[in-house]
Amino acid sequence: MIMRDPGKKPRGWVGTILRADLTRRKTTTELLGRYYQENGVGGRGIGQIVMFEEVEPASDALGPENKVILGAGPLVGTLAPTCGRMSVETKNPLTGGLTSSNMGGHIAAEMKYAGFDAIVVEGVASEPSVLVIRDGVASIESMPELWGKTTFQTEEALHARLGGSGWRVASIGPAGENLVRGACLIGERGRAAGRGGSGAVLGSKKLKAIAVRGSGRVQVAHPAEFLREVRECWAKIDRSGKVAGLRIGGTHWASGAGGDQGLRSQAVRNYRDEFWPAEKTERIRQPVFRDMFEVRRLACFNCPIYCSHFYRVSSGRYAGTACEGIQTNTIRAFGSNLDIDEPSAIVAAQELCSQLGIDVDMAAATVAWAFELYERGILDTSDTAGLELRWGNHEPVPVLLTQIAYREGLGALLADGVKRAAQVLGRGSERYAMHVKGADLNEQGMRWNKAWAFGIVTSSRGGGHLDGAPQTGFWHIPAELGVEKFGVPSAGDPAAYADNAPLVVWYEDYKAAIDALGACYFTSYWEDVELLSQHDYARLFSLATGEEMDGDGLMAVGRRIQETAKAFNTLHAGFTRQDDFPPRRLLEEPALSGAYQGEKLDPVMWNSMLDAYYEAHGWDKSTGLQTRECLVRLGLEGIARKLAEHGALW
Amino acid sequence: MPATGRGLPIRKWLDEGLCTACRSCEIACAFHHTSAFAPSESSLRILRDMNTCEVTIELYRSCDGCLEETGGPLCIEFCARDVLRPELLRLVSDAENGH
Repeated sequence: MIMRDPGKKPRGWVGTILRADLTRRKTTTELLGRYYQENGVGGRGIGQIVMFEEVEPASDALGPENKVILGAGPLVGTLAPTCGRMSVETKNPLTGGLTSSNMGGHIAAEMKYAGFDAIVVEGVASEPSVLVIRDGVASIESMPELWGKTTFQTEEALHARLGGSGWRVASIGPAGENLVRGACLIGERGRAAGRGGSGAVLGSKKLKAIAVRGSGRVQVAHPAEFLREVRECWAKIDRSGKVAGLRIGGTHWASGAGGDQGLRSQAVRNYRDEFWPAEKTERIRQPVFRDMFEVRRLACFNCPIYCSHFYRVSSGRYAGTACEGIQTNTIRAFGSNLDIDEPSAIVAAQELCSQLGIDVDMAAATVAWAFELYERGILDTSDTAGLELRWGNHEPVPVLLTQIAYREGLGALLADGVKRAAQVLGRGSERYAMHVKGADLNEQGMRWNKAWAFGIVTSSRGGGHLDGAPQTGFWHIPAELGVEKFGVPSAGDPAAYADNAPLVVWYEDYKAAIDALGACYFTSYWEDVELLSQHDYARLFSLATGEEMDGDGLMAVGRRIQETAKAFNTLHAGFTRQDDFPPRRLLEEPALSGAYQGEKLDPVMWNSMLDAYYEAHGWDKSTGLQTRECLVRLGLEGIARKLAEHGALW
Repeated sequence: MPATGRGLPIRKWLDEGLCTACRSCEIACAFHHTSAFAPSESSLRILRDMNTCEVTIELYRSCDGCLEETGGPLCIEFCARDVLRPELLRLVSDAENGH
């Protein structure tokens, strides 16, 4: 990227970072200088630089030294489609490494209109507080009366106190207050920075919420050309068949998309199987939810996809439940992975997670683990206070979720995630703890779609599909398209092990760059290779900021983000090659039924993929450590130096 | 003309379920007025009731119907819902005609 005329007013960016020092109860601002713009671009990129440079490896994720960085990239607040994402970086209390989570809604755009590209939250407040930001002015206000409230109640109270729904609020619920390691930050009731425990970190800092209102502008360097490019992007989105599907059902369409044969497999009964019978799948498909519960479609800021649905349950045990945010992970979490096919119970569980501020994926893995232990007799009613954790029984789910949030009963064990819970419980329960690097797992199709599984397991946030995991295998894209787009002919073959490493690395770079800009993956190649390419995003960036960058340059930004996360993880969590393996169950226990009966991951082939993956990154194969060469090539000498100081550079 | 100090809305419309509250129209309108993105300077405001999920569309006096935009009103162009565009057009046309 070429930075020109450093004295000019920022375009795309609004040019200011806010620091909120909770310990001193003081907020300060600093210019978003060229250092951050050039090296991090925005959002996740800048947040990770701050985390790497300012949080020391010995820091406790739930201690005062940890920080939380909220970032809104240079395209956020503009008319570039879906550019309203807020990035959230912190040290992950589940993994000890870095987490980069991401939230939709309207709060990131509001941050920009209030004058801030990023907010750095540091220290610990003396009593429960709220960070209130209005048009360039911020204050840390004591509001102990909000402690104990759900995220919905918190938002309502802040709207009443501050003056209406124009205030955008992100808050933690009781789970964050009680330091549940998978607690998350909830925005506008139905949006979550789900993964990575940012809710627990904010709870440890006694920061209940962030409320933002702004009436400023985001300006772009070349308005007419920018609008022209936005129109091109809009047209691509309108032409996409995948977008048409997302518009109808969000990612919920993927639940049951494999038909009666289960060709699109799911995690079933804590991953013991990957096939769910048609009669159950049919009960939890999106059209069922639409007919039973849909009140209206909703969208995040400036999103032409409107994948969100507001659901209300009007009868039965869960009558009165109403929420947004149900996507395919919720259906798997509280559906197939618990063998529950009662739709209203799934809506109720989602609403409860949003109210309490618990990551759905974390809740899924811990609750499913408890169910399996009960079914196997490792836990009994004396452990569960009488709850019958039988597959398909939805009644104990709200009880367990509440117990997790308040660290009561069995929830006290589950609140620290399955890895720690299994270590504490013992009794052979480790075998059934589905996690990667300590991050609880809730994913589809990991035994049969090898590239997908590989991307999930190597994700820098510990385990999850939102880094390198490609969906191309689900779509079976033709070989020539795989070559054209990624240089990988087998990109559309879910059974292939070969060449998955470069495919995963490609998506890591690309999606990290999207996180830096502030866009949503749903308008990207992650959903459809006819959508916005790295070249489209680079053009939007250049026209917005006035800084020239091409698609290759943007991919390099993504690579630097990945390498920064990797270095943070090495220093803080000590991850090595051993941590890049999937849970034993996926390597040793084949799928029991359905189209992929007998399928499992091959450890020898997994090792080959890891060799190729480390080679593609320029890392040492035996240890997985980064090399000086790979970092210097990307201009990351500072990271190489810090790794060397800690003896963690190969 | 920017909509700063836009006063009271000249039209209010409670949407029955078509609008997704994405606010693309709001910022497209602001862009028409200012060549920048600033909801506070838009002639439109989209309000969502968080409890009932109702969406209200407000139109302000500064709306000029985008007469000089060759492709028609920007709010219509950037509305993602085919079903909503005619309603928006009616709202904007009313304002343009001074109704």
